Amino acid sequence: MSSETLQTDVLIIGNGVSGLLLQYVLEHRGISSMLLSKKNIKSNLPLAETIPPTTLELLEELNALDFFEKYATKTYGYQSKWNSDYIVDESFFIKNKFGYGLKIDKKKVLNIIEQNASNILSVNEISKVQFNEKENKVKVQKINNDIVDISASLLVDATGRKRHFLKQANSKSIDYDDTLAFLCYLPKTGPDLKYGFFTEVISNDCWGTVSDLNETTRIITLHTSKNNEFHKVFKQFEHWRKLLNNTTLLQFCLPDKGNFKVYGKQANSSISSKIISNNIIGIGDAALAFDPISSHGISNAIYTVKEAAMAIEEYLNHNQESLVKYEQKLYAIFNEYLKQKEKLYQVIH
Amino acid sequence: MKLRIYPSIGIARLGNGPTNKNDVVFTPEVPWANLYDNDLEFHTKDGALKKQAQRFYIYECDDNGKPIRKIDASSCDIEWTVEVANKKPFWYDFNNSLDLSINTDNNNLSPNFYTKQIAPGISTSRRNPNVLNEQLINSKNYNYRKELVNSPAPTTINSKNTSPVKLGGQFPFPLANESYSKVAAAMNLESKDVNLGAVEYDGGSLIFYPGDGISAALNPSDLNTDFADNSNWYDDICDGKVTAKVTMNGTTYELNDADSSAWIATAPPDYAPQIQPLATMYDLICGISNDSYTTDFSLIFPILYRLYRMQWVNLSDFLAPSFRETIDELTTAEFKSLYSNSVSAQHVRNKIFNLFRDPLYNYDNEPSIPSKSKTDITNIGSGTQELKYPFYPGDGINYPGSPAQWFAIPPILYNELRKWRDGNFTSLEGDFSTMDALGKYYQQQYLDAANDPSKSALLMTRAVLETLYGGGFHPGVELTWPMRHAQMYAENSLSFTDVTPGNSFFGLREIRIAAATPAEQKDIFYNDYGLQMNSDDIKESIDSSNEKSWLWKSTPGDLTKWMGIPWQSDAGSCQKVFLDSQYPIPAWWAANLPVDVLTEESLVAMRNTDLKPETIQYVYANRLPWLMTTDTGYVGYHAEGGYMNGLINMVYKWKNVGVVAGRTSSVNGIPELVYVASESKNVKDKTSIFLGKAVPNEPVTLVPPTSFYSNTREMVWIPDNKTAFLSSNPDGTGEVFVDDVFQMKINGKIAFEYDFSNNCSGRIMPQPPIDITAHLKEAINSFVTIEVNYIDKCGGYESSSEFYLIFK
Repeated sequence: MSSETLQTDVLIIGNGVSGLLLQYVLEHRGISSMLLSKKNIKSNLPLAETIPPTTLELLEELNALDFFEKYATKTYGYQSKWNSDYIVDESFFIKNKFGYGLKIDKKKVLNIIEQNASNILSVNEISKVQFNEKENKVKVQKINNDIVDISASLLVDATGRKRHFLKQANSKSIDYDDTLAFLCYLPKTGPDLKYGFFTEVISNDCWGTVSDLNETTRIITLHTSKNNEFHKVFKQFEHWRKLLNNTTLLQFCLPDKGNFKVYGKQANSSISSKIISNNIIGIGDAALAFDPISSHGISNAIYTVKEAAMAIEEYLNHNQESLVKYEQKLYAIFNEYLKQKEKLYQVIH
Repeated sequence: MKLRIYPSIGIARLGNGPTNKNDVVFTPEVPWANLYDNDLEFHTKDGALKKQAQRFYIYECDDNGKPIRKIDASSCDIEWTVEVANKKPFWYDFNNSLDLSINTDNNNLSPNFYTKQIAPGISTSRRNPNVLNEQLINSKNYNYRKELVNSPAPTTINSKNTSPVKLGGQFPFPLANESYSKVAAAMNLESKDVNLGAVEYDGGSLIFYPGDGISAALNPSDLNTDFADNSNWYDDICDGKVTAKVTMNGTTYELNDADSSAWIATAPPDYAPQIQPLATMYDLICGISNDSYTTDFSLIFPILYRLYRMQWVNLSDFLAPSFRETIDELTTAEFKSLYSNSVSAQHVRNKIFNLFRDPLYNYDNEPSIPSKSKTDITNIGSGTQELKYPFYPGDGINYPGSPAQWFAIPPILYNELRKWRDGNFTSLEGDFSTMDALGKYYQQQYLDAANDPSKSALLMTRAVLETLYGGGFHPGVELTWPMRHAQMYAENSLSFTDVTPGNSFFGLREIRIAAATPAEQKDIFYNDYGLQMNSDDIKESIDSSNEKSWLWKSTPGDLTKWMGIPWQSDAGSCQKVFLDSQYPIPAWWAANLPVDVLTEESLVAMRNTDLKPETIQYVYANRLPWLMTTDTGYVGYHAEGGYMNGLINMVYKWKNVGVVAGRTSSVNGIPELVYVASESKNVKDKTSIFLGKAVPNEPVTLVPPTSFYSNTREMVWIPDNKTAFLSSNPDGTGEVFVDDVFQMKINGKIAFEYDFSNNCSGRIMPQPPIDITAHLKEAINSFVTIEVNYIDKCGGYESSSEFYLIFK
């Protein structure tokens, strides 16, 4: 039985912000593209993610600001106690064109982009890539179990730190640290936060943030390194009171009673050894992942989408150099980020 | 048997608190009764400003109409009907009081206004002048101006209506037989719902609740830049007729004529309910009658006491020179001279009498109040005479150099004061050494009189009128200058010469508004004087045979149409009035809209026992501008910086401004009872969670039942020990509805459903905030996902209010 065959210029895998947004952007530029969406088994927890004002300009450029603004609340900055005895106020209000950032509901944003991006194929399974000079091929099993062959001039890896395609093209993940994040949802307790977000150093290898999620709920996230011999202590909420004992603000955000579930996850900075390889191009965290202190997850996704869309457009117009330039640009950014991070962490270590 | 409604004139005051008899304050029913209370609360637990509601009762009266007793509601059927309107946008701009050039036969205005034209009335043109009566342009019949009157249909309730029934209202108001407003349509808008209040049957009495105090412009960007006249604006003030039908022993009594029905008006909040206006509407109504009185000290004391108590709301009346200072300086012996007619006491009485400005306004030369149109020419030669009391501006404010720029106490009071000076009064027996001791004695007279059922009815009317400002009218706080004319009243007669034996207080009066009959109302409801109205129109209207006399037959909306719109503009701007001389600084209506206040925080600070006695005095004397919470800065008659801000901010900050209330001080060296301003506090222990948006009314497109709106909230914490309810606003006070069904799922399971259509009865019944605590029991102390669905069950139309989940 012969299977169905589909042809597209660009095949994207990964239905996160970067994948969905790229599909939407390409479609609007008249570039034939398709997105493979693997049914999510685990449901994502809502996170209080912040998009800074600079990123809003990118979104406006991509014609996608509405998607993000629709289910967002405006935020006007953040406060931190980091390199100083004082709480430092970072106000968005005085910054560039948008005097605000957005706190978004990621799930709803994804839903709305998905509704606006038309060529999405839901699949159960994706085969390994058959590499070809001109065209890569993958075989997928649709949710009705039909098998489809898809060939595309370019594959886009938008699978986050998994780097599903890039790994098959022998790209390796290079990790720069061992940051772990421990995240806990808590009923709103303690003082009101001026901007709904506050971050402070807890000890020399540990820092934390508190972020308002909604009218009743806050998220406290503690970050430490895998090298911290006590990192397992972070996993249990009952230890948090002691851990936060000396903090200026975080300790007051813990409710007096109750035990709350702590979610642990990796949150290290890492980059793909190759962002471009065998006609595969990485975007979002698949290209480069910052550690959470930079709060750049979504901004990174949006930035790489913008750059990748340009590179892809040129590539399809037979400018082979464009992809290389894209890669170089991202490496340069990552190096700059590492330098900045060194500076920040010097304070802690 | 004759039945009549009391009070004959009622007042209800706006508040943003709930329309619910447990969460409002009621208009006092006995004058002076609340003066010394130390525990009154004018904010709800949630920090909302309570509404002031008015109760009406039905009294059985003798054949002369004198009330005998309240009727027993259990032995009869009572049907109450209330018909109100707001005519402000339909009426004329306020420039000044138009009766100022008119010769009248009552004592409220000095003849100098007429003979010397000391402050002529200024002609005025229509508000919303672009909205025309089409007959002016062509022969068509549609009068667009009628839409400017918010006039909901009369609301009738009976013993079944034991919860508040909304009166409704819209602006612009679609005319009869029209499904929409043509004015709104011309602006590409729909009419706004502007509810004018609510009524409730409560054990035979009627409770009238005012509106929520919401004012706005049809164009949201139109700012209210004038103190009284802002086209495009609406507010939810109103006035109108309260009538009743009583069926007793098979006989039905219709209490619907001017003689037996009552009138209700709504007004801005009274921000110092225990501080009485310097001059009251009751004084003016007495002044109309030209009755004569046997003078005892009860005719004198109230004006002295009111002025003395202004110290709690106006700095000029607290510091020195002030009337307070003059009184407090009196020795004990001199103080007794106040209520003694002896010759030896005369020098004290004389000194005090001379402090007051003569309402006759013979040309004297007090400092002038500069006009808005400023020039740099100093008023050479002006202000050679000392400023008299009270330090308040008057009706002639528009005219620098006019003696009537200053407010004088009503002539009737001044005349009694003159008799008092001359010793022509009955001394008060007893031993009193403070103003408050005298005040408490007279308060007791009112309380005693209220035990007499016959007097209690008239005291109710008086209690209302004593809380209303009786000048200066520019335009005023609640009602304005037409109220000082005999033509306004169908009846104004003295029923009792004394409140209690020997204590006349100008007696008790039967007062009825000259309400138009239904037939007259039909003819005159939309009358005006054309493009312009001036003093001549008013002069002619006073003659009952003149065709313009319709002005004095009141129909709903006619008492309040003269006031500023939106009401917040005037309430927020009429504060201090700056002169060339910086002290004392006069102010407007401080007893209802305070100017300088002692704050509750200061009182708390003074209770610190570590403070030195002199520091306590400093804190006590540290009075703060009442409007500070509106960030208006000082505002006044002049357009100095902050004035415009004040007008604009007051529209939404009025509910957060402090209310002055009596509190026991417990501090040495200051009075035992102090009147302090407490603001609406943001109540923190309340959480509002947005659940769903409001859906405008639209025809259903899918076959029912379908969900036409859905929203999901994740990770919502359900606390324990809290009450949970659904409301259409984050305050927790708004009515909710869905056309037809509201459904709420918790973690995917239906936790609560409410069918507002009552099984497709054809009518959607909005509900006051719904308590759903019991439905959340299983989710307490956990994070949940809440999904709400608005379901169309019956077809036709679909719509909804906003929905919030409130935890309190």
